[in-house]
Amino acid sequence: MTGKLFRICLWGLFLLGCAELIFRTVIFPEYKAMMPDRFVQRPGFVYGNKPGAEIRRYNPMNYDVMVHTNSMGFRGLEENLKEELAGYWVAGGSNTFGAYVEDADVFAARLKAYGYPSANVAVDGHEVADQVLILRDLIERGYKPRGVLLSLTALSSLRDYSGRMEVLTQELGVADSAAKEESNRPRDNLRESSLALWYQIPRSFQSVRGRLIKSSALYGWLKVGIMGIPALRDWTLSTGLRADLDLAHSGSLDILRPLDSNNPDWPRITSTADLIAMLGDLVRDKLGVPFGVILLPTHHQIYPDKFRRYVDHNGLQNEDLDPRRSLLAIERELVRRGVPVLNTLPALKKEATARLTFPDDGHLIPQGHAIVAGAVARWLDAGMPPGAEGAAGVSQ
Amino acid sequence: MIAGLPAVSVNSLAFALLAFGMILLAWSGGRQLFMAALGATGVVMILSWMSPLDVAALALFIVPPYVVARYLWGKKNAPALALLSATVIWEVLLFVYLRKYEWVGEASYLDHPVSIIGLSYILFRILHLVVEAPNLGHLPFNSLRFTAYIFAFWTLLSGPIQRYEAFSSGMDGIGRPSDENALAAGHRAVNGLIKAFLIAPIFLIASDLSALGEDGATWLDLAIVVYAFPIYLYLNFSGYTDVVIAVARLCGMTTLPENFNRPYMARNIQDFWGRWHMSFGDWIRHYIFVPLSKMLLEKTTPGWHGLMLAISVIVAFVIIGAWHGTTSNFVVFGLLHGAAIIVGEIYGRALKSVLGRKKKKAFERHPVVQGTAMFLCFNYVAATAVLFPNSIADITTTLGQFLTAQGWL
Repeated sequence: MTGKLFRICLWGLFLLGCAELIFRTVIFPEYKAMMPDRFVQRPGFVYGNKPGAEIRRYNPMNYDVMVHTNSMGFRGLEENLKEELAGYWVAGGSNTFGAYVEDADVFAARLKAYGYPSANVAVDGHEVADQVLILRDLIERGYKPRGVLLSLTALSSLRDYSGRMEVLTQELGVADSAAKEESNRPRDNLRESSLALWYQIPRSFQSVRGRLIKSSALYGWLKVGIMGIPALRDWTLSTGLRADLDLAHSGSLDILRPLDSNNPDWPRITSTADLIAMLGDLVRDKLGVPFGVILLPTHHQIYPDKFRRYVDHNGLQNEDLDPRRSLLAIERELVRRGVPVLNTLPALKKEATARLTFPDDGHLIPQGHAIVAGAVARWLDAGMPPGAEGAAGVSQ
Repeated sequence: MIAGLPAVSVNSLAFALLAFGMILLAWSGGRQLFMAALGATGVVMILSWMSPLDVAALALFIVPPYVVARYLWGKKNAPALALLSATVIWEVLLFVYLRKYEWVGEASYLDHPVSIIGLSYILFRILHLVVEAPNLGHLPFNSLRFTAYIFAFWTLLSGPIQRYEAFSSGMDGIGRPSDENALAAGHRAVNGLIKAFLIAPIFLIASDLSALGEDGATWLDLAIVVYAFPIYLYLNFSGYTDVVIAVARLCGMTTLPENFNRPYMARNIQDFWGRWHMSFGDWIRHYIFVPLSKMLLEKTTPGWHGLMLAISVIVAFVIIGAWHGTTSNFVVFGLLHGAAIIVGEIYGRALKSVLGRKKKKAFERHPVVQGTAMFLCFNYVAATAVLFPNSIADITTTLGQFLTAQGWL
């Protein structure tokens, strides 16, 4: 009995391995691009995009996208770098970087067609404070743009930055070089390599999935393939195999409630606005060019019916919740501090009959980027008026 | 060379599939095909590494000795000395050229893989086969068996070095092992993978000599650098050996020789080489040390025998060193180990003359003496192993900086 079981296991492993090898070599050799190493520790401060990268990305609705970075680690091709750095600098997080859209589809790249070539200095996962460091580094290295635009995706970019204001003044490079000294002695190498092995051990279902997607062509193909077939996509959604983005909200509910000084999340609004206002002062002082903020909405903010699904699913009908409050609040606070703001929600809502965000992660799809690019171009044409295209009709 | 197929190394999916496939074949009714499949899997591995030019170079290395072995097979009385010598010289010269030893310059038109797919192990098997061909007439031999023996996927990359007699008798046993043996082999394979590919890399990173030049490095760091590399080497090599021996045993081949016997428990360098990479040590002893020392002893008077043995040891260890790597570092490594064996022998003789045979044995068996000997031997091996991953210039520069920082220079 044991022998038979052993042989069945061997056959199972052998056939599974054969399938994996065939998928790796013939059917889905691009599997390594499912979760590539995209980041490097930038000299001086925070992680950044890997310079000179050419990375394939996959996301349902937009498969097989090539993402390029130039020699400075900014989104786009090397040949455009000089022109882009002399144009507008567009800072931000993942939505601005455009993780799952082609280089030319990102709104910063589309601005060129409107006469505003732009360097997309955004980094996937960066907060405002991280981007402050990126911008300061560019300023210190002597580059000069026509203007600086900071793009915020409310809610995720709204953080309590009161403990991170030093990013405006800290010496660039100090923290990094200190860390380097700490980590290179043999005993540190030994400790770090031991810990690295320890951290390789998956500790959750999610980390097993992460490992599979990095290392298995078969799993990656199934994941991408299933998501590409509408009926299977719907099935995975209805059976709970895949998270329904509409039903998720990250962070506290307070950010959805009326926002005033009594709200525990109020510091997220005010400290974000404070940090941005000080960044604007720094840009104007050091560069003498205009500075403005672009507000990008989340999918709950664009599609109220999807937010209603979230509310109904979680039994929150009796709560006074509105995802657009944070958008209006940060816009208002920025205007109050003299920072020109463009809220892109009205422009997106106007054309939101079709899908404008990825179904699984809420980032803007190419159509969404195109609308944002048009709105930003009109705003720049108008001289960056404060509070442009405000989120009218939102209860406070 | 095979489109899309990544180079097949022991920790690759392709190797696992080859292994599983061969095990299933050995366990099934198709075991009569095993010999052909064994050769074919080796060829697949080679083709996954090599360009066409490399394959051509390998053919020059493989085909002539096959022809010679075939010609000499079982012909005990054939006048074959000239033919044998020419074949051995051809193989050794070609090996030196293909492996790109630093003193022969670059074979620039070749890609590197021909020199790293276990060419040295192939050389050992080939020389053994050619030299022993007249005495192996009782065993079957043909091109299929030759291919399977030379390219057997389990020993292709890093041994162990199996003799043809053992290979032949092992092939007779191909089939399904008992459940108990199969589980034991599976256990050994998993242990080997853990040793070689999970734990060993930790020590490789820690053995980086240049890290001693960092500010704040202390004697503890020096100890880590010196000890980490031999630990890595042992875990990696013995782990790899565990995997291939286990795979062979799962196929019913029980005659692959063991390569390690707790080498860091050795009490002197001679003992160490009897425990470390044992199949290699046996080969060197059998084909280099014994014939050379026998010839030198026969041609000299007893008063010179001590010197002749020392010369034989040094020659054997220069070859051992040169086999391990292509730079002069490795020759120095071999010389240091050869010298240690000669010193150990002189010490042993002196001890014997002072204490007498019985008291010497009792002295050497004392736990404190044994522990001290193990400690000294391990430290000597560790210190000389620093020559493996570092050039002599790097060692002297980094150690100089380190000792200056410690206030010793």
